[in-house]
Amino acid sequence: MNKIIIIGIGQKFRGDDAIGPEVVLAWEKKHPERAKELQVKISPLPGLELLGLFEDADTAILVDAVQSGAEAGRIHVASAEQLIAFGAGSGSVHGFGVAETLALGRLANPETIPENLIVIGIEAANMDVGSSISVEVRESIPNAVAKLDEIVSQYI
Amino acid sequence: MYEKIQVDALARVEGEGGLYIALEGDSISELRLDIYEPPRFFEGFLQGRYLQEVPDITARICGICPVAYQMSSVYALEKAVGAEITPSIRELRRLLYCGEFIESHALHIYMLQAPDLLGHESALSLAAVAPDVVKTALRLKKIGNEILRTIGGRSVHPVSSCVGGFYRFPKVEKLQELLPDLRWGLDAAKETARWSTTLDYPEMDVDYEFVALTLPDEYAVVGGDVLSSKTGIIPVEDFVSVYPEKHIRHSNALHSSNASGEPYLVGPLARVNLNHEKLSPQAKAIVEELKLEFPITNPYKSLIARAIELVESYELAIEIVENYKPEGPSHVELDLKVGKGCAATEAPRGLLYHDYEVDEKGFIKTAHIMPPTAQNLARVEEDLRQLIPQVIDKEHAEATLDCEHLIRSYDPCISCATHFLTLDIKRK
Repeated sequence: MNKIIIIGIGQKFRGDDAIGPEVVLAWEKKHPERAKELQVKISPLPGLELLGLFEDADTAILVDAVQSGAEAGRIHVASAEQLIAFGAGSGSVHGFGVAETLALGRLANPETIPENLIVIGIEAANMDVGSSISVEVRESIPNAVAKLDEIVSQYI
Repeated sequence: MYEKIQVDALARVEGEGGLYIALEGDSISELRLDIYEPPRFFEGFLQGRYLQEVPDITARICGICPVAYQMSSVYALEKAVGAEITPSIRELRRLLYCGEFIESHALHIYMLQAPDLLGHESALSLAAVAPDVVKTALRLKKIGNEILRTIGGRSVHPVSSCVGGFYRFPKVEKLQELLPDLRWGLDAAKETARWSTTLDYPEMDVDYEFVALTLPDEYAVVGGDVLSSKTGIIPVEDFVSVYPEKHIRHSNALHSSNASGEPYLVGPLARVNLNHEKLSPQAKAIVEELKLEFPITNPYKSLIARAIELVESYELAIEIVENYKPEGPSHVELDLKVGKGCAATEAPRGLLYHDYEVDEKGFIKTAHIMPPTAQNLARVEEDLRQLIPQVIDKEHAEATLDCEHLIRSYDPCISCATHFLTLDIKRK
């Protein structure tokens, strides 16, 4: 059986960075039966720990805020390879960013990277500490939930 | 000839800081390690909190060394209320600390400093040519985080520690499950130490005042008094008066110095130089095998000190897990009363001092924290002053990189250091 893990990445008090966990929790609420068949994790700031979260999975779906210069709330679906286009960097190199961590894992521990690794990125507008999710980004939640469910259906 | 070296945002350090050096001819007219990471006010918002909230709040100062912030706070608060912990509690605290040393040192050795020594821009470019090195690093680090998870419920910011001990003891079999990984880690740590002495370190020799904790019968990490290479032992209660802090205009972190105003060094080099005779047997054997001579006075070689401590931490972790038989309650009852207490433990980056005053119900009246990175900032600036004449004839980019490498060799944690801001209000 295909082992699937969904990971919502982001910090609650950092504006649109919270959108990853929001989408994953909204999906879980909408599809409770389906959620039981797979693993769902919320990880505020995984850093290098990310590599340990999905090492037993065949398919990992990461939901995270991204900044690519597109309009706020736009939903991107990317493979791990494409993720690099969103740019690495978390502002601190003690805390490795998602793209950088995946690249590092692929080079050093390729056997622990799931066969299918999909990133749903929601374009963020504001990641200021202490702010909440902006309106445009919040409005994208239903579409992001639908996209997540569509991807889960492909792999389940 | 160039007039300045400027790094607006230092990479491969935790937190936000920059470097500015202005030169006039061959001499330095201005040198600043700018710490512009915003202050975080931890000492302010601890006031009025119940003492059992403190270890979980101070843990949040740092994602790399949360255990250090928990341990210095619980020891200081236990002293404030006169609580005595049991040997079982102390051993488990030492094991938790091993986990932190392992994850922090593995990260710094391989991901943060090694790229400088091997001519790489980052761990990522290093992984492209030496995937096995990075693979070892990831596994070494992960085992440290696993210790934290097993004892503390999660791999960062563990939640099991309280003033008086632990909310509960972990099960014997859960800790024993760690043993195969720990044994692999001990061997890998020894290899790391061997490899650390083969690297090509820049030349530098500094006349440091090394400052670290000391204990009679063990390599001091969890508690102890303060030992200086220049002035000997002082009780931890005198630490603040012997090593005062002051505000510096360009830094949101306080600077520390000794009583004569001179900088001093805390961290792995200070610890290994002062306490190498108390290392665990296999760490000592590696020191002998590698013919290391103390004191090591080259700041870049703090990587070697970290590697020795990695061996020490794995060996100690194995010993504690093998002998783990928790006895007595997991935490002692507290008899709350008005009191004051201070304590220090050795964070991976160096001596971390806390002091607190509590009221009769156990609420915090004052809190004071001296993080190791803040204590080292004046020392880093002095080292840079010493380095500049050596690099001044190099190409600008290369000289800049040498300065950055020197700063990174300290493993500075700027986020930890900027927890504090003095507000000096003058009223007419």
